[in-house]
Amino acid sequence: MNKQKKDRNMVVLLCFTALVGLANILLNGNFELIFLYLLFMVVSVPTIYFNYSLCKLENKWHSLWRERTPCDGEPSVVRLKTGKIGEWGAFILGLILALIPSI
Amino acid sequence: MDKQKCGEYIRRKREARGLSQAELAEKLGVSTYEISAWEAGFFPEAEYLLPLSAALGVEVEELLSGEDAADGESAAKAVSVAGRSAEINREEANPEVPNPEGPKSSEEQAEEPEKPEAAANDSVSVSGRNKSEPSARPVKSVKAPAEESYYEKLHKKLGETDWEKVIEPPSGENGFSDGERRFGKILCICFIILILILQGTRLQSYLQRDRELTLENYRQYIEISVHPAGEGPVYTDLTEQVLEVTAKKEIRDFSISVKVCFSYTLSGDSENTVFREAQIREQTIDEYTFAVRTFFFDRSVWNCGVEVLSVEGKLP
Repeated sequence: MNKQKKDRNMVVLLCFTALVGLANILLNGNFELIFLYLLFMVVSVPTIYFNYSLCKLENKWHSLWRERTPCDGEPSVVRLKTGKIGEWGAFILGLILALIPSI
Repeated sequence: MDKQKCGEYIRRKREARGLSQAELAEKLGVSTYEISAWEAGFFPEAEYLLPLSAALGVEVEELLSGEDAADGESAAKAVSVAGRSAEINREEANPEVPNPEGPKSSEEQAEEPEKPEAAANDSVSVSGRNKSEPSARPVKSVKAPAEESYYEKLHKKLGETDWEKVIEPPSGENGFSDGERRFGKILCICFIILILILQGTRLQSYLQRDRELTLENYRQYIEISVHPAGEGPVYTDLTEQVLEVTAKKEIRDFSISVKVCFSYTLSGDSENTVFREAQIREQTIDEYTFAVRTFFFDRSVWNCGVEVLSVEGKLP
């Protein structure tokens, strides 16, 4: 299985997990949590996948705005890792939100 | 150095390599604006000459001159060969005539006695004469190859440099690393299992719920209270007592029979105690709906108690 297939399967698993969380909220009847939960999931799942592109875009924009000779925008390893940590954190927060009605 | 010519040369070489301005700019770590400026005639700064020459596959001298070195070298060689052959022809014609270039230096004079020796060992023929032919004329000695120039050494070194490592390729790509996939799978599977367990217990409690009201479980579903009629924290009329039944959940075909004990004294002695029974029937009691019965007395009631005799009802 090549990398692309593995990544696609991972994204499908993340989306399925998000749907399970949403179903749990609906079954428990806590409709006030739906908006916040969807916000977390809709933001975190794509950004986890497109982390590199987003970091590069941010760098390019930042250097275009602030530097006379903009660079190629290649993000550092630190930037990539902090991005991933934030995005996974948002995903986990969403899962906790989905668990609250059941507790 | 013709800057326009250099700019044209850079553009030609870039196009020959099939690179766009953006691609070349990305390779060199500069902006597209810089590349177009170079090609327009603004010569690149010194720090970019070497990487640019490596990216275009040319030498720095070619960049500086604005033309391929092969053309220049062949032209230079042709000139030097023509000059040499002219010199040799002159010597053949008039061997005793002094060199029109001027008096020879002491080094050149010292070389002359060596010529016959060199002629004996000579294996080089400048004009391409047959070696087997007896040479009547002295053959020029072959000069030792000149030392490599600075640029030749530099280009050799550049040729050995792996520019793919110097100009680093992109550091990453979208997607997940192996560790991330593992972490994500564990997280998602644990979450799904937890949700299934919680929903399973909920389903189980729903399936095992009470279907009917009984004397054992009625306290979970209804509240019974007796209080004087009237509003406010201080009841002024204690001769009128109200029996209230409040439902906590929806109950259908509700029926309850209670025996209420009222006492005219605070101590509740049997002499001053009366009992009243009440039956309440309601088809449906929703949450917080309550059934009310009112009892009237001729004296103030100070104490009371409730005993449920029977209760019936269907739970959803």
